[in-house]
Amino acid sequence: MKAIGIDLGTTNSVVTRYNDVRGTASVLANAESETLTPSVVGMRERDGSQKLLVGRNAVNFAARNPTDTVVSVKRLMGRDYAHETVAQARDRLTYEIVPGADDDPRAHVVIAGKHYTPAEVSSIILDKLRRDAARALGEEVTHAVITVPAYFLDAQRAATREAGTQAGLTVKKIIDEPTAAAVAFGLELNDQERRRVLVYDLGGGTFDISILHMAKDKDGRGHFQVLSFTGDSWLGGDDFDHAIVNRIIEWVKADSGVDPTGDKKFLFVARSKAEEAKRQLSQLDDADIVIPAAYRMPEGGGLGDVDMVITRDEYEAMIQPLVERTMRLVQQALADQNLSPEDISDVLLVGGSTLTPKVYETVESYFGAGKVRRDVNPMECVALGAGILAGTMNGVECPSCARANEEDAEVCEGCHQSLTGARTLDAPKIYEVTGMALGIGAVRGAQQDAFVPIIPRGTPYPLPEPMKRSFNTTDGRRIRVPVYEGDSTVASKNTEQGVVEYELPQEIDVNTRVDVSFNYDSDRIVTVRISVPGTHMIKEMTLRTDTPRTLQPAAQEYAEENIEWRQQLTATAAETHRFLETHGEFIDPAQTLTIRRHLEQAERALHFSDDTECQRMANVLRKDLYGSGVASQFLLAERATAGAPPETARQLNNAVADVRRSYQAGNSELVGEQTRLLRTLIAQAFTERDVAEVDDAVDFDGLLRIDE
Amino acid sequence: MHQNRPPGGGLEDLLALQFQDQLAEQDEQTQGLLKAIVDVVDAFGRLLGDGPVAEGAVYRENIRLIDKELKKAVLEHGVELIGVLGESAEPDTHLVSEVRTGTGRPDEEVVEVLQQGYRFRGRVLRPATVTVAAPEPKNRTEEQR
Repeated sequence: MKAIGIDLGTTNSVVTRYNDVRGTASVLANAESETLTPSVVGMRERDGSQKLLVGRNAVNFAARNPTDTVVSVKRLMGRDYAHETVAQARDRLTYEIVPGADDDPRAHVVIAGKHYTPAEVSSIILDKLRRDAARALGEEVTHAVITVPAYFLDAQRAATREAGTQAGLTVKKIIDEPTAAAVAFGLELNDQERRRVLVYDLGGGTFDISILHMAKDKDGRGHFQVLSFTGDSWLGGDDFDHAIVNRIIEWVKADSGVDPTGDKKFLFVARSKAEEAKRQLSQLDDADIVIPAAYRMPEGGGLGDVDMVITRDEYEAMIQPLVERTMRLVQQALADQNLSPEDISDVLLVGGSTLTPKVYETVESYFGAGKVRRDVNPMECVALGAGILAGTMNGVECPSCARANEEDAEVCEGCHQSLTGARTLDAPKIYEVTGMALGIGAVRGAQQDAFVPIIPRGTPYPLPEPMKRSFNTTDGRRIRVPVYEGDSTVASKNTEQGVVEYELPQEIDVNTRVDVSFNYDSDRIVTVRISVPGTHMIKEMTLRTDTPRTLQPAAQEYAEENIEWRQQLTATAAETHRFLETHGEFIDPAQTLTIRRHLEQAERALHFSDDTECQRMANVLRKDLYGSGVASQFLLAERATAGAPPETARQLNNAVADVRRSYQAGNSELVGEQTRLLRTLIAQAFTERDVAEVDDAVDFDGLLRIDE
Repeated sequence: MHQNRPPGGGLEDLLALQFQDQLAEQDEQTQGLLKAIVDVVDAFGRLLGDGPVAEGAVYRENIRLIDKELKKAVLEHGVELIGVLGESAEPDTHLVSEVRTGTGRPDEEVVEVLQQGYRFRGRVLRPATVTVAAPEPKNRTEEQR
């Protein structure tokens, strides 16, 4: 078995291996003798045959086959087609991105007319990395540790793992990039010491900030917890190069009056010289930019040269706005956690762009030079951390018989006991915790769209035993448990991981207690178990998080209701717009933003998506309408008042006025009390009229209720 | 081969001496290349020190000769040029920067070299940056039919 570490990057990937004798990891060169392999896949069609191009070769032919060359596929990993990130990528990337076939909501890419999942494209890259590593090492490579951004959700991690498996690798571990960087920097902790580490990762095209909590427990095991992450998906060192290219263009315009922006040959050489100058300015006070015969002078004036100097001061002034943008995000990341710079014990600089003095000096002046670490190659440190883990993880120890087993084993090879909760036998003692809470969407008080965490954020995993919470049924025999990952108290603001549905058998009382338990294994796979205490009713489901999210009704039902769903979404969207205008001041600002985002998604669905997506969005908007606290009660009160007897209408109007006054006075306790009264009046009004809206208002659609 | 091999040396000594021989050979090659470059620098010095340029064609011929000498020096030291008009572009040696249709040339034939590429002992130091010919774009749906 030979294991490697892989930093599967957005732009480039890096492979490392661990040297047992030296106790360190080192970077492996690929077949082209380069340490960075572009994360790019293309297809070359020639003489009727097709050949996949991967890495540098794919980059070289990208201009020949722009629509068949996939770059930045990491941005699409495990994402649904309707996701905001995918919409942004569609605007910026040259290849085609489409939803999957047969109601599969995941984004797919099209290469030479064939559809691939992002995981399949990544597997092609990983396969090259594996083959090149085997060539460099002279032996077969079978195992790998692969890094992913801390903000990757379970679906994206699952997609990365799947890509590794498809590439013929046993994935020992999927690990967060900032955690891998911390391992590479070799942060040492004394017993029971705690540290808070900020990882500032400025790559070629993306900027990520993560705040990690590190602690060593009494058994000497290191705990890594990613507390917070933020960043800018479209900011990086490439923007620094563009700034220098623009300066060269300005110089040419001033020197000769020629505008070379349309001269592709000039721009190509200028970009290459800009990269070179950027590197020089990291070491020197100025950089010469000399391009003989760079551009054509007007009216037969021959070829003009570029011969200019950029000083470090000029360069720093050019990139100042970009660096300030990164620091605003750093401040945001700290504010999100109520932290000040003094609360951070270490700052790790990751990504090639952190070699720029302006960048590291700005970070140092903010946090204090003593805290900022830049002693490991920032372009390699994530891969080096992965390599150290790949070389030092020695399986998991069976809790029953202490036998060492492979990382991916589910039961012990010796005693066949479950390895759930088994301790990892690894040198750096990585012990991970959940970055986000896992729970279900349920009814809490008046809120229909409440998120009830079952595994709280920061829980060490794999779990020694499943975690459980108890609920009550709401409105019938049907039980619907939507599973979410996230930190918002509003379920639909989190990421849906799947839905478990069940029909209570007749012999069980319709008003009953239901237990929901979650297990979370080392592969971050969630097993949901629904049971009714005192009965044999048990429903268990393992969520394959990289498969279509929501169970879809049969296709035929759709065919019958096609037009209806589109019309319904149009009507619901109009109603939601009116809801925001009329009751916006009583909606939480974050919820307002979410509703606006949902409206934009609905607009896109109406124009570009199929009926499945229209149906989904109509349901999402309905949840917004009826799950937005006080404002939703006002909406229902409006409906109840319309056509109600005068006395009922007067009572409703008075009740609404009472809630409004208390809300505006900030008296939340009174608001709660008065809202309950208002709800009772609404229900009475609906019952009196026996109108259809009653169903809309109180139909919980099988959700469970949490009583607290 | 090294002439001062100590008598009775083991395999490790032999490998060390071979390594020394290789280093000496590389050193000799580097010195040869540097000498050729210095000759080119001298030639530029003479040209620029000669005062104002009187005649464009003569001046151009001077530059052409210096360029020829420099190219000869790098080629003699194992560097291969990549990027010739009419050759077929390949992904491992050519970076396609532009595609030109309607040239009447075969698909992927190099029709313009924007920057020469170089290969040294089988390793591509830099791919050639080229414009290639391509057929008129077809409608994808037509293609699939």
